[in-house]
Amino acid sequence: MSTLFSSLNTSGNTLGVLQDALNVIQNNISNASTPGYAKQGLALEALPLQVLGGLAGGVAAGPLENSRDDFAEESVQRQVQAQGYFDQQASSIGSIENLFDVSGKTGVPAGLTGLFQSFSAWSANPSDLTARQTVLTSAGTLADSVRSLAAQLSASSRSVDQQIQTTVSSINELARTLAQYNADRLVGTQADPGQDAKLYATLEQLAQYSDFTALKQPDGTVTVLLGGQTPLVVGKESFSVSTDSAIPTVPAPVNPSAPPSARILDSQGKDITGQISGGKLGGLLDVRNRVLASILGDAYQQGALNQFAQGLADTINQIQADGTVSQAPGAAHGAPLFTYSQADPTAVAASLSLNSELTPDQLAAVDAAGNVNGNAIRLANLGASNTPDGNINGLTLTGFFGQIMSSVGQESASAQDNSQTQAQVAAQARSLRDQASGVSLDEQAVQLIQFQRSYEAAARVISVLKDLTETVINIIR
Amino acid sequence: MSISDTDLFARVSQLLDRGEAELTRGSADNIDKARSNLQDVVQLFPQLISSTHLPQSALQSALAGLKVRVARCAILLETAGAFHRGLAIRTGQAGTSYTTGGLEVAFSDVRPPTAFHG
Repeated sequence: MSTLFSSLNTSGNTLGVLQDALNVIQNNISNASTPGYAKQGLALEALPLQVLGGLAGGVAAGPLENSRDDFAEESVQRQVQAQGYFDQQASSIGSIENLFDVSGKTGVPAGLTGLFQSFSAWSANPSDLTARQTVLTSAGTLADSVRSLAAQLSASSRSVDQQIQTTVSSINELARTLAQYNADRLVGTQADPGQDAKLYATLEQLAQYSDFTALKQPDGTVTVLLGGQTPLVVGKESFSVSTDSAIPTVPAPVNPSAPPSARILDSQGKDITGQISGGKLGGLLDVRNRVLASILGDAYQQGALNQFAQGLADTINQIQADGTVSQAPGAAHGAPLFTYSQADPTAVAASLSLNSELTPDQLAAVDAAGNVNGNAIRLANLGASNTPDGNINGLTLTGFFGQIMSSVGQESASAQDNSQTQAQVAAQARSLRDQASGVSLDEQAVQLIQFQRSYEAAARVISVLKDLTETVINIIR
Repeated sequence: MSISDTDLFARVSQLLDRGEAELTRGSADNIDKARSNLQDVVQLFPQLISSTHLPQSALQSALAGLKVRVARCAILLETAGAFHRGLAIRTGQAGTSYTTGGLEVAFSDVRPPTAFHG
Protein backbone atom coordinates (compact mmCIF):
# COMPACT_ATOMS: atom_id res chain seq x y z
CA MET A 1 0.00 0.00 0.00
CA SER A 2 2.83 2.37 0.91
CA THR A 3 4.42 1.73 -2.49
CA LEU A 4 1.16 2.77 -4.15
CA PHE A 5 1.02 6.00 -2.15
CA SER A 6 4.69 6.70 -2.86
CA SER A 7 4.07 6.12 -6.59
CA LEU A 8 1.08 8.46 -6.44
CA ASN A 9 3.28 11.06 -4.76
CA THR A 10 6.03 10.64 -7.39
CA SER A 11 3.56 10.97 -10.25
CA GLY A 12 2.05 14.05 -8.63
CA ASN A 13 5.51 15.63 -8.36
CA THR A 14 6.23 14.71 -11.97
CA LEU A 15 3.10 16.55 -13.06
CA GLY A 16 4.35 19.64 -11.19
CA VAL A 17 7.78 19.43 -12.81
CA LEU A 18 6.29 19.01 -16.28
CA GLN A 19 3.98 21.94 -15.60
CA ASP A 20 7.09 24.04 -14.80
CA ALA A 21 8.76 22.88 -18.03
CA LEU A 22 5.67 23.83 -20.01
CA ASN A 23 5.66 27.24 -18.34
CA VAL A 24 9.31 27.76 -19.40
CA ILE A 25 8.39 26.90 -23.01
CA GLN A 26 5.41 29.22 -22.86
CA ASN A 27 7.70 31.97 -21.56
CA ASN A 28 10.17 31.32 -24.40
CA ILE A 29 7.43 31.53 -27.02
CA SER A 30 6.00 34.72 -25.48
CA ASN A 31 9.46 36.33 -25.57
CA ALA A 32 10.50 35.07 -29.01
CA SER A 33 10.55 38.66 -30.29
CA THR A 34 11.81 40.32 -27.10
CA PRO A 35 15.12 42.10 -27.84
CA GLY A 36 18.03 40.52 -26.00
CA TYR A 37 16.04 37.46 -24.84
CA ALA A 38 17.89 34.14 -24.75
CA LYS A 39 15.90 30.91 -24.62
CA GLN A 40 15.58 29.22 -21.24
CA GLY A 41 15.43 25.53 -20.51
CA LEU A 42 14.45 23.61 -17.39
CA ALA A 43 16.99 20.94 -16.48
CA LEU A 44 15.20 17.70 -15.51
CA GLU A 45 16.92 15.39 -13.04
CA ALA A 46 16.11 11.69 -12.62
CA LEU A 47 15.38 10.64 -9.02
CA PRO A 48 16.78 7.32 -7.75
CA LEU A 49 14.60 4.29 -8.27
CA GLN A 50 14.87 1.41 -5.82
CA VAL A 51 11.55 -0.25 -5.26
CA LEU A 52 12.63 -2.34 -2.30
CA GLY A 53 14.30 0.59 -0.63
CA GLY A 54 11.20 2.74 -1.00
CA LEU A 55 12.71 5.04 -3.61
CA ALA A 56 10.00 5.47 -6.23
CA GLY A 57 12.11 7.28 -8.86
CA GLY A 58 10.52 10.03 -10.90
CA VAL A 59 11.80 13.36 -12.04
CA ALA A 60 12.75 16.57 -10.29
CA ALA A 61 13.16 20.09 -11.61
CA GLY A 62 16.79 21.21 -11.85
CA PRO A 63 18.01 24.75 -12.32
CA LEU A 64 16.70 27.05 -15.05
CA GLU A 65 19.32 27.00 -17.82
CA ASN A 66 20.03 30.09 -19.91
CA SER A 67 21.25 29.37 -23.43
CA ARG A 68 22.98 32.75 -23.79
CA ASP A 69 26.45 32.46 -25.27
CA ASP A 70 28.77 35.28 -24.19
CA PHE A 71 31.05 34.70 -27.18
CA ALA A 72 28.12 35.21 -29.59
CA GLU A 73 26.95 38.27 -27.63
CA GLU A 74 30.41 39.83 -27.74
CA SER A 75 30.61 39.08 -31.44
CA VAL A 76 27.32 40.93 -32.05
CA GLN A 77 28.47 43.87 -29.90
CA ARG A 78 31.73 44.16 -31.86
CA GLN A 79 30.02 44.11 -35.24
CA VAL A 80 27.35 46.58 -34.11
CA GLN A 81 30.13 48.90 -32.89
CA ALA A 82 31.77 48.70 -36.32
CA GLN A 83 28.40 49.26 -38.01
CA GLY A 84 27.74 52.37 -35.92
CA TYR A 85 31.20 53.68 -36.86
CA PHE A 86 30.85 53.14 -40.61
CA ASP A 87 27.21 54.32 -40.76
CA GLN A 88 28.16 57.56 -39.03
CA GLN A 89 31.22 58.02 -41.24
CA ALA A 90 29.13 57.48 -44.38
CA SER A 91 26.48 59.94 -43.24
CA SER A 92 28.85 62.70 -42.05
CA ILE A 93 31.35 62.46 -44.92
CA GLY A 94 28.43 62.32 -47.37
CA SER A 95 27.27 65.71 -46.00
CA ILE A 96 30.77 67.14 -46.42
CA GLU A 97 31.01 65.76 -49.96
CA ASN A 98 27.80 67.61 -50.87
CA LEU A 99 29.54 70.93 -50.11
CA PHE A 100 31.84 70.36 -53.10
CA ASP A 101 30.28 70.76 -56.54
CA VAL A 102 31.93 68.10 -58.67
CA SER A 103 30.19 69.44 -61.80
CA GLY A 104 32.38 72.56 -61.54
CA LYS A 105 29.42 74.84 -62.32
CA THR A 106 29.29 76.53 -58.92
CA GLY A 107 31.52 77.25 -55.94
CA VAL A 108 35.32 77.32 -55.99
CA PRO A 109 35.85 75.35 -59.25
CA ALA A 110 33.53 77.77 -61.11
CA GLY A 111 35.23 80.73 -59.38
CA LEU A 112 38.66 79.51 -60.49
CA THR A 113 37.49 79.02 -64.07
CA GLY A 114 35.89 82.49 -64.05
CA LEU A 115 39.07 84.16 -62.76
CA PHE A 116 41.34 82.41 -65.28
CA GLN A 117 38.95 83.33 -68.11
CA SER A 118 38.94 86.97 -66.96
CA PHE A 119 42.79 86.94 -66.93
CA SER A 120 42.73 85.52 -70.46
CA ALA A 121 40.27 88.19 -71.71
CA TRP A 122 42.33 90.91 -70.02
CA SER A 123 45.57 89.62 -71.61
CA ALA A 124 43.92 90.08 -75.04
CA ASN A 125 43.05 93.73 -74.18
CA PRO A 126 45.46 94.72 -71.39
CA SER A 127 44.41 98.35 -71.28
CA ASP A 128 40.64 97.70 -71.49
CA LEU A 129 39.04 99.01 -68.31
CA THR A 130 36.06 96.64 -68.53
CA ALA A 131 38.38 93.63 -68.79
CA ARG A 132 40.33 94.88 -65.77
CA GLN A 133 37.09 95.41 -63.81
CA THR A 134 35.98 91.86 -64.75
CA VAL A 135 39.24 90.53 -63.27
CA LEU A 136 38.46 92.28 -59.97
CA THR A 137 34.87 91.05 -59.97
CA SER A 138 35.95 87.45 -60.73
CA ALA A 139 38.63 87.58 -58.04
CA GLY A 140 36.03 88.83 -55.57
CA THR A 141 33.64 86.02 -56.56
CA LEU A 142 36.37 83.39 -56.11
CA ALA A 143 37.37 84.78 -52.71
CA ASP A 144 33.68 84.73 -51.66
CA SER A 145 33.40 81.08 -52.79
CA VAL A 146 36.47 80.05 -50.81
CA ARG A 147 35.22 81.89 -47.69
CA SER A 148 31.75 80.43 -48.14
CA LEU A 149 33.17 76.88 -48.42
CA ALA A 150 35.30 77.44 -45.31
CA ALA A 151 32.21 78.73 -43.45
CA GLN A 152 30.11 75.73 -44.56
CA LEU A 153 32.83 73.31 -43.49
CA SER A 154 33.09 75.07 -40.12
CA ALA A 155 29.30 74.76 -39.79
CA SER A 156 29.66 71.01 -40.54
CA SER A 157 32.30 70.82 -37.84
CA ARG A 158 29.93 72.48 -35.34
CA SER A 159 27.15 70.12 -36.40
CA VAL A 160 29.46 67.14 -35.74
CA ASP A 161 30.27 68.66 -32.32
CA GLN A 162 26.54 68.77 -31.54
CA GLN A 163 26.13 65.16 -32.63
CA ILE A 164 29.07 64.17 -30.41
CA GLN A 165 27.31 65.93 -27.52
CA THR A 166 24.05 64.08 -28.22
CA THR A 167 25.88 60.75 -28.55
CA VAL A 168 27.72 61.29 -25.26
CA SER A 169 24.37 62.05 -23.58
CA SER A 170 22.93 58.80 -24.97
CA ILE A 171 25.95 56.85 -23.70
CA ASN A 172 25.54 58.35 -20.22
CA GLU A 173 21.82 57.57 -20.23
CA LEU A 174 22.47 53.94 -21.20
CA ALA A 175 25.22 53.71 -18.57
CA ARG A 176 22.70 54.80 -15.89
CA THR A 177 20.23 52.18 -17.16
CA LEU A 178 22.90 49.46 -16.98
CA ALA A 179 23.88 50.55 -13.47
CA GLN A 180 20.22 50.24 -12.46
CA TYR A 181 20.06 46.69 -13.89
CA ASN A 182 23.18 45.87 -11.91
CA ALA A 183 21.57 47.29 -8.75
CA ASP A 184 18.45 45.17 -9.36
CA ARG A 185 20.65 42.11 -9.94
CA LEU A 186 22.43 42.66 -6.61
CA VAL A 187 19.07 42.68 -4.82
CA GLY A 188 17.79 39.46 -6.45
CA THR A 189 19.20 36.05 -5.63
CA GLN A 190 19.25 34.68 -9.16
CA ALA A 191 19.20 36.01 -12.70
CA ASP A 192 15.78 36.97 -14.00
CA PRO A 193 15.47 36.12 -17.73
CA GLY A 194 13.51 39.33 -18.34
CA GLN A 195 16.13 41.50 -16.64
CA ASP A 196 18.87 39.57 -18.42
CA ALA A 197 17.21 40.26 -21.78
CA LYS A 198 16.93 43.97 -20.99
CA LEU A 199 20.59 44.09 -19.92
CA TYR A 200 21.85 42.54 -23.16
CA ALA A 201 19.49 44.63 -25.31
CA THR A 202 20.88 47.74 -23.59
CA LEU A 203 24.47 46.59 -24.18
CA GLU A 204 23.65 46.11 -27.87
CA GLN A 205 22.17 49.62 -27.94
CA LEU A 206 25.32 50.99 -26.30
CA ALA A 207 27.41 49.21 -28.96
CA GLN A 208 25.83 51.43 -31.62
CA TYR A 209 27.29 54.46 -29.84
CA SER A 210 30.77 53.41 -28.80
CA ASP A 211 33.20 50.54 -28.46
CA PHE A 212 33.42 49.00 -25.00
CA THR A 213 34.25 45.82 -23.16
CA ALA A 214 31.58 44.20 -20.99
CA LEU A 215 32.84 41.94 -18.21
CA LYS A 216 30.45 39.61 -16.38
CA GLN A 217 31.18 39.64 -12.65
CA PRO A 218 30.70 36.70 -10.27
CA ASP A 219 27.85 38.56 -8.53
CA GLY A 220 25.95 38.67 -11.84
CA THR A 221 26.56 42.35 -12.55
CA VAL A 222 28.24 43.63 -15.69
CA THR A 223 31.23 45.98 -15.68
CA VAL A 224 31.44 48.17 -18.79
CA LEU A 225 34.76 49.71 -19.83
CA LEU A 226 34.47 52.40 -22.50
CA GLY A 227 37.08 51.90 -25.21
CA GLY A 228 38.12 48.81 -23.25
CA GLN A 229 39.79 50.94 -20.55
CA THR A 230 37.64 53.65 -18.98
CA PRO A 231 35.08 52.53 -16.38
CA LEU A 232 31.58 53.48 -17.49
CA VAL A 233 29.55 51.11 -15.31
CA VAL A 234 30.90 49.30 -12.27
CA GLY A 235 28.31 47.55 -10.12
CA LYS A 236 25.48 49.95 -9.38
CA GLU A 237 27.61 53.01 -10.18
CA SER A 238 27.81 54.72 -13.57
CA PHE A 239 30.56 57.17 -14.47
CA SER A 240 29.52 59.89 -16.91
CA VAL A 241 31.73 60.91 -19.80
CA SER A 242 31.66 64.39 -21.33
CA THR A 243 32.89 66.21 -24.40
CA ASP A 244 34.61 69.49 -25.12
CA SER A 245 36.98 70.90 -27.70
CA ALA A 246 40.51 72.09 -27.05
CA ILE A 247 43.88 72.66 -28.65
CA PRO A 248 46.20 69.81 -27.72
CA THR A 249 49.22 70.87 -25.69
CA VAL A 250 51.46 67.84 -26.18
CA PRO A 251 53.33 68.03 -28.46
CA ALA A 252 53.39 71.84 -28.57
CA PRO A 253 50.91 73.06 -31.20
CA VAL A 254 52.28 74.46 -34.46
CA ASN A 255 49.09 76.48 -34.95
CA PRO A 256 47.98 77.67 -31.51
CA SER A 257 44.99 79.57 -32.93
CA ALA A 258 43.73 76.63 -35.02
CA PRO A 259 40.22 75.19 -34.69
CA PRO A 260 40.23 73.05 -31.51
CA SER A 261 39.89 69.28 -31.71
CA ALA A 262 36.91 67.45 -30.20
CA ARG A 263 37.72 65.51 -27.02
CA ILE A 264 36.01 62.93 -24.87
CA LEU A 265 36.67 63.19 -21.15
CA ASP A 266 36.11 60.59 -18.45
CA SER A 267 34.36 61.33 -15.15
CA GLN A 268 37.67 62.67 -13.76
CA GLY A 269 38.16 65.02 -16.72
CA LYS A 270 40.94 62.91 -18.25
CA ASP A 271 41.17 62.93 -22.05
CA ILE A 272 40.13 59.48 -23.34
CA THR A 273 39.55 60.46 -26.99
CA GLY A 274 42.28 58.08 -28.19
CA GLN A 275 40.50 55.11 -26.59
CA ILE A 276 37.30 55.56 -28.63
CA SER A 277 37.61 53.83 -31.97
CA GLY A 278 34.18 52.35 -32.61
CA GLY A 279 30.48 53.06 -32.68
CA LYS A 280 28.82 56.29 -33.73
CA LEU A 281 31.09 58.25 -31.40
CA GLY A 282 34.22 56.76 -33.01
CA GLY A 283 32.87 57.68 -36.46
CA LEU A 284 32.06 61.24 -35.38
CA LEU A 285 35.50 61.73 -33.81
CA ASP A 286 37.17 60.42 -36.97
CA VAL A 287 35.21 62.82 -39.19
CA ARG A 288 35.75 65.76 -36.82
CA ASN A 289 39.41 65.27 -35.90
CA ARG A 290 40.78 63.63 -39.06
CA VAL A 291 38.63 64.31 -42.15
CA LEU A 292 37.53 67.89 -41.35
CA ALA A 293 40.90 68.74 -39.77
CA SER A 294 42.69 67.66 -42.96
CA ILE A 295 40.65 70.28 -44.85
CA LEU A 296 40.23 73.07 -42.27
CA GLY A 297 43.45 72.52 -40.32
CA ASP A 298 44.17 71.90 -36.68
CA ALA A 299 46.96 72.44 -34.17
CA TYR A 300 49.48 70.52 -36.28
CA GLN A 301 48.41 71.01 -39.91
CA GLN A 302 47.30 73.98 -41.99
CA GLY A 303 44.51 72.12 -43.76
CA ALA A 304 44.19 71.57 -47.50
CA LEU A 305 41.67 74.38 -48.08
CA ASN A 306 43.94 76.91 -46.31
CA GLN A 307 46.92 75.61 -48.28
CA PHE A 308 44.93 76.15 -51.46
CA ALA A 309 43.76 79.64 -50.46
CA GLN A 310 47.26 80.71 -49.45
CA GLY A 311 48.80 79.20 -52.59
CA LEU A 312 46.22 81.01 -54.75
CA ALA A 313 46.66 84.40 -53.06
CA ASP A 314 50.46 84.26 -52.78
CA THR A 315 50.94 83.14 -56.40
CA ILE A 316 48.68 85.78 -57.92
CA ASN A 317 49.95 88.53 -55.60
CA GLN A 318 53.56 87.60 -56.47
CA ILE A 319 52.88 87.70 -60.23
CA GLN A 320 51.21 91.07 -59.70
CA ALA A 321 54.29 92.26 -57.78
CA ASP A 322 56.59 90.96 -60.54
CA GLY A 323 54.83 93.08 -63.20
CA THR A 324 54.20 96.77 -63.68
CA VAL A 325 51.02 98.71 -64.37
CA SER A 326 52.45 100.30 -67.57
CA GLN A 327 55.49 100.22 -69.86
CA ALA A 328 56.60 103.67 -68.67
CA PRO A 329 60.01 103.75 -66.99
CA GLY A 330 59.66 103.54 -63.22
CA ALA A 331 56.02 102.43 -63.46
CA ALA A 332 54.54 101.05 -60.25
CA HIS A 333 54.43 97.32 -59.61
CA GLY A 334 51.03 95.68 -59.34
CA ALA A 335 49.23 95.76 -56.00
CA PRO A 336 48.12 92.52 -54.26
CA LEU A 337 44.86 91.13 -55.65
CA PHE A 338 43.99 89.16 -52.51
CA THR A 339 44.39 89.67 -48.79
CA TYR A 340 44.10 87.16 -45.96
CA SER A 341 44.83 86.85 -42.26
CA GLN A 342 48.57 86.42 -41.76
CA ALA A 343 48.20 85.67 -38.06
CA ASP A 344 46.77 82.16 -38.33
CA PRO A 345 47.70 79.70 -41.12
CA THR A 346 44.45 77.83 -40.46
CA ALA A 347 42.30 80.94 -41.04
CA VAL A 348 43.52 81.77 -44.57
CA ALA A 349 40.47 80.37 -46.41
CA ALA A 350 38.04 81.92 -43.95
CA SER A 351 39.65 85.36 -44.36
CA LEU A 352 40.50 85.35 -48.09
CA SER A 353 39.20 88.58 -49.66
CA LEU A 354 39.66 90.77 -52.67
CA ASN A 355 42.02 93.62 -51.79
CA SER A 356 39.45 96.34 -51.09
CA GLU A 357 41.94 99.12 -51.88
CA LEU A 358 42.76 97.74 -55.31
CA THR A 359 41.60 99.72 -58.34
CA PRO A 360 41.53 98.39 -61.95
CA ASP A 361 44.49 100.57 -62.96
CA GLN A 362 46.68 98.89 -60.30
CA LEU A 363 46.56 95.56 -62.14
CA ALA A 364 49.99 94.80 -63.62
CA ALA A 365 49.67 93.59 -67.22
CA VAL A 366 53.29 94.37 -68.20
CA ASP A 367 55.93 91.77 -67.38
CA ALA A 368 59.52 92.40 -66.26
CA ALA A 369 60.75 92.22 -69.88
CA GLY A 370 58.41 95.06 -70.82
CA ASN A 371 55.87 92.99 -72.80
CA VAL A 372 52.58 94.86 -72.67
CA ASN A 373 50.50 91.79 -71.75
CA GLY A 374 53.24 89.40 -70.53
CA ASN A 375 52.13 89.46 -66.94
CA ALA A 376 48.44 89.09 -67.81
CA ILE A 377 49.31 86.04 -69.95
CA ARG A 378 51.30 84.60 -67.04
CA LEU A 379 48.21 84.98 -64.83
CA ALA A 380 45.93 83.47 -67.51
CA ASN A 381 48.31 80.50 -67.79
CA LEU A 382 47.65 79.62 -64.15
CA GLY A 383 44.62 77.77 -65.52
CA ALA A 384 46.79 75.61 -67.78
CA SER A 385 48.01 72.19 -66.67
CA ASN A 386 51.69 72.88 -67.46
CA THR A 387 52.08 76.23 -65.68
CA PRO A 388 55.31 76.65 -63.69
CA ASP A 389 53.53 79.10 -61.33
CA GLY A 390 51.30 78.36 -58.38
CA ASN A 391 52.19 74.74 -57.81
CA ILE A 392 51.11 73.28 -54.48
CA ASN A 393 52.68 69.89 -53.74
CA GLY A 394 53.45 69.55 -57.46
CA LEU A 395 49.87 70.28 -58.53
CA THR A 396 48.35 73.32 -60.24
CA LEU A 397 45.84 75.38 -58.27
CA THR A 398 42.97 73.67 -60.11
CA GLY A 399 44.63 70.28 -59.69
CA PHE A 400 45.17 70.81 -55.96
CA PHE A 401 41.55 71.81 -55.37
CA GLY A 402 40.47 68.83 -57.48
CA GLN A 403 42.55 66.61 -55.21
CA ILE A 404 40.73 67.96 -52.13
CA MET A 405 37.38 67.13 -53.78
CA SER A 406 38.61 63.75 -54.93
CA SER A 407 39.94 62.71 -51.52
CA VAL A 408 36.61 63.66 -49.87
CA GLY A 409 34.81 61.72 -52.62
CA GLN A 410 37.00 58.67 -52.07
CA GLU A 411 36.49 58.84 -48.29
CA SER A 412 32.75 59.06 -48.87
CA ALA A 413 32.64 56.16 -51.35
CA SER A 414 34.78 54.01 -49.07
CA ALA A 415 32.58 54.85 -46.06
CA GLN A 416 29.41 54.01 -48.01
CA ASP A 417 30.87 50.68 -49.12
CA ASN A 418 32.08 49.83 -45.62
CA SER A 419 28.69 50.79 -44.20
CA GLN A 420 26.87 48.42 -46.58
CA THR A 421 29.29 45.58 -45.93
CA GLN A 422 29.24 46.07 -42.17
CA ALA A 423 25.42 46.06 -42.12
CA GLN A 424 25.60 42.52 -43.54
CA VAL A 425 28.39 41.46 -41.18
CA ALA A 426 26.32 42.70 -38.21
CA ALA A 427 23.23 40.90 -39.56
CA GLN A 428 25.36 37.75 -39.82
CA ALA A 429 26.56 38.10 -36.21
CA ARG A 430 22.95 38.54 -35.03
CA SER A 431 21.84 35.54 -37.07
CA LEU A 432 24.62 33.36 -35.59
CA ARG A 433 23.83 34.60 -32.08
CA ASP A 434 20.12 33.85 -32.57
CA GLN A 435 20.93 30.36 -33.88
CA ALA A 436 22.91 29.75 -30.68
CA SER A 437 20.62 31.32 -28.09
CA GLY A 438 17.51 32.75 -29.71
CA VAL A 439 14.08 31.18 -29.49
CA SER A 440 13.29 28.83 -32.37
CA LEU A 441 9.51 28.47 -32.51
CA ASP A 442 9.85 25.11 -34.32
CA GLU A 443 12.14 23.76 -31.59
CA GLN A 444 9.82 25.06 -28.86
CA ALA A 445 6.81 23.47 -30.61
CA VAL A 446 8.55 20.08 -30.63
CA GLN A 447 9.42 20.42 -26.94
CA LEU A 448 5.87 21.54 -26.17
CA ILE A 449 4.46 18.37 -27.74
CA GLN A 450 7.08 16.26 -25.97
CA PHE A 451 6.25 17.66 -22.51
CA GLN A 452 2.53 17.57 -23.24
CA ARG A 453 2.79 13.83 -23.97
CA SER A 454 4.84 13.32 -20.81
CA TYR A 455 2.23 15.25 -18.85
CA GLU A 456 -0.56 13.10 -20.32
CA ALA A 457 1.42 9.94 -19.50
CA ALA A 458 1.97 11.06 -15.88
CA ALA A 459 -1.72 11.92 -15.59
CA ARG A 460 -2.60 8.47 -16.95
CA VAL A 461 -0.29 6.82 -14.39
CA ILE A 462 -2.10 8.72 -11.62
CA SER A 463 -5.44 7.58 -12.99
CA VAL A 464 -4.26 3.94 -13.03
CA LEU A 465 -2.79 4.26 -9.52
CA LYS A 466 -6.08 5.74 -8.30
CA ASP A 467 -7.99 2.74 -9.69
CA LEU A 468 -5.45 0.36 -8.16
CA THR A 469 -5.67 2.09 -4.79
CA GLU A 470 -9.47 1.87 -4.82
CA THR A 471 -9.26 -1.83 -5.74
CA VAL A 472 -6.78 -2.50 -2.90
CA ILE A 473 -8.99 -0.61 -0.44
CA ASN A 474 -12.03 -2.68 -1.54
CA ILE A 475 -10.02 -5.91 -1.13
CA ILE A 476 -8.98 -4.87 2.39
CA ARG A 477 -12.64 -4.16 3.28
CA MET B 1 25.96 45.36 -74.14
CA SER B 2 24.79 42.31 -76.01
CA ILE B 3 22.00 40.12 -74.72
CA SER B 4 24.39 37.29 -73.81
CA ASP B 5 26.66 39.66 -71.86
CA THR B 6 23.65 41.01 -70.00
CA ASP B 7 22.60 37.47 -69.16
CA LEU B 8 26.09 36.58 -67.99
CA PHE B 9 26.36 39.61 -65.69
CA ALA B 10 22.81 39.02 -64.41
CA ARG B 11 23.67 35.37 -63.68
CA VAL B 12 26.82 36.31 -61.74
CA SER B 13 24.95 39.02 -59.88
CA GLN B 14 22.20 36.55 -58.97
CA LEU B 15 24.76 34.00 -57.72
CA LEU B 16 26.42 36.69 -55.61
CA ASP B 17 23.01 37.73 -54.21
CA ARG B 18 22.38 34.15 -53.13
CA GLY B 19 25.92 33.77 -51.79
CA GLU B 20 25.64 36.95 -49.73
CA ALA B 21 22.22 35.90 -48.37
CA GLU B 22 23.52 32.48 -47.34
CA LEU B 23 26.67 33.93 -45.79
CA THR B 24 24.62 36.50 -43.86
CA ARG B 25 22.72 33.62 -42.23
CA GLY B 26 26.14 32.21 -41.41
CA SER B 27 25.47 28.63 -40.25
CA ALA B 28 27.73 25.82 -41.46
CA ASP B 29 24.96 24.64 -43.85
CA ASN B 30 24.52 28.14 -45.20
CA ILE B 31 28.26 28.53 -45.75
CA ASP B 32 28.28 25.28 -47.67
CA LYS B 33 25.44 26.50 -49.91
CA ALA B 34 27.24 29.82 -50.40
CA ARG B 35 30.40 27.95 -51.38
CA SER B 36 28.55 26.27 -54.23
CA ASN B 37 27.24 29.66 -55.49
CA LEU B 38 30.67 31.27 -55.23
CA GLN B 39 32.32 28.39 -57.08
CA ASP B 40 29.90 29.01 -59.96
CA VAL B 41 30.89 32.69 -59.89
CA VAL B 42 34.56 31.72 -60.10
CA GLN B 43 33.81 29.57 -63.16
CA LEU B 44 31.88 32.37 -64.87
CA PHE B 45 34.45 35.12 -64.18
CA PRO B 46 36.89 34.22 -67.02
CA GLN B 47 33.97 34.45 -69.46
CA LEU B 48 33.09 37.89 -68.11
CA ILE B 49 36.66 39.14 -68.41
CA SER B 50 36.99 37.88 -71.99
CA SER B 51 33.63 39.37 -72.92
CA THR B 52 34.25 41.02 -76.29
CA HIS B 53 30.91 42.72 -76.78
CA LEU B 54 31.38 45.28 -74.06
CA PRO B 55 33.34 48.52 -74.43
CA GLN B 56 36.45 48.39 -72.24
CA SER B 57 35.24 51.16 -69.89
CA ALA B 58 31.83 49.53 -69.36
CA LEU B 59 33.49 46.16 -68.76
CA GLN B 60 35.90 47.64 -66.22
CA SER B 61 33.06 49.43 -64.44
CA ALA B 62 30.89 46.30 -64.31
CA LEU B 63 33.79 44.16 -63.13
CA ALA B 64 34.68 46.73 -60.44
CA GLY B 65 31.10 46.51 -59.12
CA LEU B 66 31.29 42.72 -58.99
CA LYS B 67 34.73 42.87 -57.38
CA VAL B 68 33.30 44.92 -54.49
CA ARG B 69 30.61 42.30 -53.98
CA VAL B 70 33.08 39.40 -54.13
CA ALA B 71 35.20 41.24 -51.53
CA ARG B 72 32.06 41.57 -49.38
CA CYS B 73 31.46 37.81 -49.65
CA ALA B 74 35.09 37.23 -48.62
CA ILE B 75 34.59 39.41 -45.51
CA LEU B 76 31.35 37.58 -44.63
CA LEU B 77 33.09 34.25 -45.13
CA GLU B 78 35.99 35.36 -42.96
CA THR B 79 33.77 36.63 -40.11
CA ALA B 80 31.55 33.52 -40.20
CA GLY B 81 34.63 31.29 -40.22
CA ALA B 82 36.20 33.22 -37.34
CA PHE B 83 32.95 32.93 -35.36
CA HIS B 84 32.69 29.16 -35.81
CA ARG B 85 36.41 28.69 -35.09
CA GLY B 86 36.15 30.78 -31.92
CA LEU B 87 33.03 28.97 -30.79
CA ALA B 88 34.64 25.58 -31.42
CA ILE B 89 37.78 26.56 -29.48
CA ARG B 90 35.69 27.83 -26.58
CA THR B 91 33.53 24.73 -26.56
CA GLY B 92 36.68 22.58 -26.53
CA GLN B 93 38.17 24.63 -23.73
CA ALA B 94 34.99 24.36 -21.72
CA GLY B 95 35.72 20.63 -21.44
CA THR B 96 39.46 20.66 -20.95
CA SER B 97 40.76 24.20 -20.38
CA TYR B 98 43.78 23.14 -22.45
CA THR B 99 44.69 23.86 -26.03
CA THR B 100 46.16 21.35 -28.47
CA GLY B 101 49.53 22.96 -27.68
CA GLY B 102 49.14 21.87 -24.07
CA LEU B 103 48.85 25.39 -22.74
CA GLU B 104 46.00 26.49 -20.60
CA VAL B 105 44.19 29.35 -22.32
CA ALA B 106 41.69 31.71 -20.78
CA PHE B 107 38.30 32.19 -22.44
CA SER B 108 39.15 35.83 -22.94
CA ASP B 109 41.99 34.82 -25.30
CA VAL B 110 39.45 33.70 -27.88
CA ARG B 111 38.19 36.91 -29.42
CA PRO B 112 35.09 37.18 -31.55
CA PRO B 113 35.68 38.10 -35.18
CA THR B 114 36.37 41.62 -36.33
CA ALA B 115 35.42 42.71 -39.83
CA PHE B 116 38.13 43.95 -42.14
CA HIS B 117 37.47 46.83 -44.48
CA GLY B 118 40.43 47.68 -46.62
